[in-house]
Amino acid sequence: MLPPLVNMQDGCVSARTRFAALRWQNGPRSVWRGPALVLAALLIVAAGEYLLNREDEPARVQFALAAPDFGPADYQAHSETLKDRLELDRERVARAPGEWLPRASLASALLADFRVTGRVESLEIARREYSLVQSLAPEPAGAPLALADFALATHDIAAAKSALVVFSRSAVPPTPIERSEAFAMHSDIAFYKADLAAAHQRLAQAEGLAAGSGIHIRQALLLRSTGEFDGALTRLAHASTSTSRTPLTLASIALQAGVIESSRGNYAKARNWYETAERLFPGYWLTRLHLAEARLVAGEDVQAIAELESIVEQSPRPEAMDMLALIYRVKGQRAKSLEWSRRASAIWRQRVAEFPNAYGAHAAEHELVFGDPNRALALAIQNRRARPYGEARILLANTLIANGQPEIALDELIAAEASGWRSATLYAAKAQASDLLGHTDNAETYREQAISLNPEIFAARTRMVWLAHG
Amino acid sequence: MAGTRIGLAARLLFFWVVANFSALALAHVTPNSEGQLDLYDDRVELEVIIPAAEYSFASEHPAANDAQSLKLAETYLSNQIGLISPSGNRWTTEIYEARFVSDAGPIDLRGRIVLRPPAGEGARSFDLVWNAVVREVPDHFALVMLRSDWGGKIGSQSEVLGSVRNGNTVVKVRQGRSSEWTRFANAVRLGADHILQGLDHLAFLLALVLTAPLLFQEGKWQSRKDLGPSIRSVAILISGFTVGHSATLIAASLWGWSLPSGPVEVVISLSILVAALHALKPIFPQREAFAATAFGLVHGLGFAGFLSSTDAELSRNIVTLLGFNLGIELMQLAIASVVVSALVILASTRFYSWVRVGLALVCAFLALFWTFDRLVGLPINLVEATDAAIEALSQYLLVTAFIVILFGIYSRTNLKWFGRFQWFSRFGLSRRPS
Repeated sequence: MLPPLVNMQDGCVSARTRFAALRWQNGPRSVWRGPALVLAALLIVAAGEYLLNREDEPARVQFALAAPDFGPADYQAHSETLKDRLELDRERVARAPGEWLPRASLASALLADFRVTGRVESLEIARREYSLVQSLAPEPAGAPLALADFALATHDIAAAKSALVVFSRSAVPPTPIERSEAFAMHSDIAFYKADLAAAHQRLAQAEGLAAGSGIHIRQALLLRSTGEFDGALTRLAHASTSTSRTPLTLASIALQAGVIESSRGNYAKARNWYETAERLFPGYWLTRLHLAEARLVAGEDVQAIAELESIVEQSPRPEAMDMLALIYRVKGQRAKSLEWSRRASAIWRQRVAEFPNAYGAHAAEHELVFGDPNRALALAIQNRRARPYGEARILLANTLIANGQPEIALDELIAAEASGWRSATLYAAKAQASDLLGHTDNAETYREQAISLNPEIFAARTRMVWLAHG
Repeated sequence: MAGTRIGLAARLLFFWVVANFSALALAHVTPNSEGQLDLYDDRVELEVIIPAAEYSFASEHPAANDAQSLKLAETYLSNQIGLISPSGNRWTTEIYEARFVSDAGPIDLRGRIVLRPPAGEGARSFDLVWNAVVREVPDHFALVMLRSDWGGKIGSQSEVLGSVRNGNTVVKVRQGRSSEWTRFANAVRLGADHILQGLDHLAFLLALVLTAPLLFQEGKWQSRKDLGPSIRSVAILISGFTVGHSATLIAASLWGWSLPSGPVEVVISLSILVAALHALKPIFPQREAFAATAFGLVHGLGFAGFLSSTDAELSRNIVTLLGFNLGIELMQLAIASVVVSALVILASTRFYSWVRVGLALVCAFLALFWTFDRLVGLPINLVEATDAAIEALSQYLLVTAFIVILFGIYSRTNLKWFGRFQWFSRFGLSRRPS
């Protein structure tokens, strides 16, 4: 018989009475109650864990890479266009050799040529032309903004600052676009000086005057350097919808997106981006280098070697030679590795002699891995002195480690981190220096931090990432 | 100003390409080598790990596990790595177990080098000379660590001694005098570690104590004993096991008794099966202490085998032998006190029979698994996966035991409070009427 649901004395149903009824219905010794309770506890724990650990899905980033607005369709066509522009500018200079304006135009064309083709001869001639512009044009006339641009291209921060000071004294009020560019260059200088807050601030000022893809891309670089990969990708997506959507710009955006994915160990996604870049602007040697790297990471050595050798055949690029030397080292083929590293070494040394600031870091990395650690250290010190930003400090730290100075290396890395720099390679180097100093517990923490930024940082295939590790 | 406008768009567009390009080829991640030193009275053992790619590059030898390649690797290691006494004498070198292996990463050359000092010289002061790879690869270094030193350092937590690289290929090691106390402490630690890692011994103990809180009546496990008799039963069981394994451990170690480890290991796993079956249905009721002692004799042979395989000197030295045994006892007691307390508390609930049957079945399954593995050899992946699962399970069980103990203490001290909630007391956590 069911117990009464209503308490006859006070006329209401008590919770205890209801519970008693329920207990009666289920049977006093229900075998399911225990397991059900355990299951409920497990579900509560699982739900709690899910709620605590769930990460907000990053907003889907929409890139607009299809249908470029204008511009040469591929690397070949772009090279032809640059060639035409150079010929035209040379002709103008020949007609008026004593005027600075045609020379500034020619220098600018040469710099553009260097940036796309990587031809150091163009850079050398551009330097000569800018030098002539400076001697021909009375200050503050001339092309201070172009000069600052050239100085930054050659990583001459002091010269860039001086040129921007001259620009600020311009007699003719600059246009908003020019002022925006000047702010962007101030941001680049702040970035290289490891003042990331100032770099962001200057970019915001630049954006306020004239937002363009260049600004968004700089913002992406800044965010990548602080480990904010999703934010960097969002900025690149903005860049892809911005002004000047040429095939080269869009391909370069895709390339940069690939570098960001590579920095956090998403090598398959990085490869997709590199393939997109190749589709958008076929034949670009920089894309081909990244594609070769993606193939190496995927274990496609034969194809990667063929691609790199083809790049070197077209132009003796030391980056490709270094990559070949690395592949053969990893394959244990000493003779071939040495052959490529020696060829690269000769080119790097020559370039450092011509443009020590521009090529010091590359040469230091080359010397560190393939050449002389002492020379690598000297180059890395010089590079860090000129540009004390995170990447230069990490490079210096690695050369210090190779020269048996892990304590100073750790100081450099701590300074890089204090500046806001965040990358898996930073923490990997911190772990290495700490190991050498016997601080094994700290090293373990740093390894975990490196892995949190790039879960693949210590994987075997990551050592094949020569270009895009950030 | 006109010049500034020339190519402005180009600059805005392409500057970042340079910025991007400037970020190339920096901070390349490369693997390095490692050397772990183990110091003994008469020798030094060095475990070396060298990335296979760097080894091949430096030696121009193939990185493969065929006999010829391994021979080349051994020759390379003995030529490139060695010890020199402070007097300048070179130590003898023997290479063992050189293999190319991949341990969750790139392939490495791993080898164990046994180095012995010249006659009349000690094994605690030497210069390690390491030329492998560092001469040929500029950014390569080898981290040299002291992993164990029985007479000079407690535990096996590696300490960095230094590093070798191009231009500095020597690490000086000066360990000073060894101490008997450190030796004893290391032996205690080894014994405790062995029990923690020796899941078969723990499974045997667990199966054995499952029935300790119960009374044998009418041919089956019936109502539970009071707390005092339960603890007495457990104490007798563990003492019996201790007497048994101590006897064979000491005898086998000191007098060099040796039985082939294979059969001993099989009997150990069968002992777990017998204890588990006994927990399910009484097989040797009221003779548990005798069974624990008898099986303890076999487990002792297992401990002796482990000790002599770790270091024969340890098993011949009475101080380290006692230390090892003490470590086993201390760890056994620590685990048993937690597990048995939890079992005694759980025995006051209705579902203890489920706990007993469940744990006994788990132990029986493990016993069968280990028996098969030790008899016929199961696939290594399966064994590793099972070991990992057992380890995780044992950790969960230990945590559960702690929770049960805390819960038990709380429910006993707050009985009146709990008593207000019928459902709670019905759940089985009320004080047993005396």
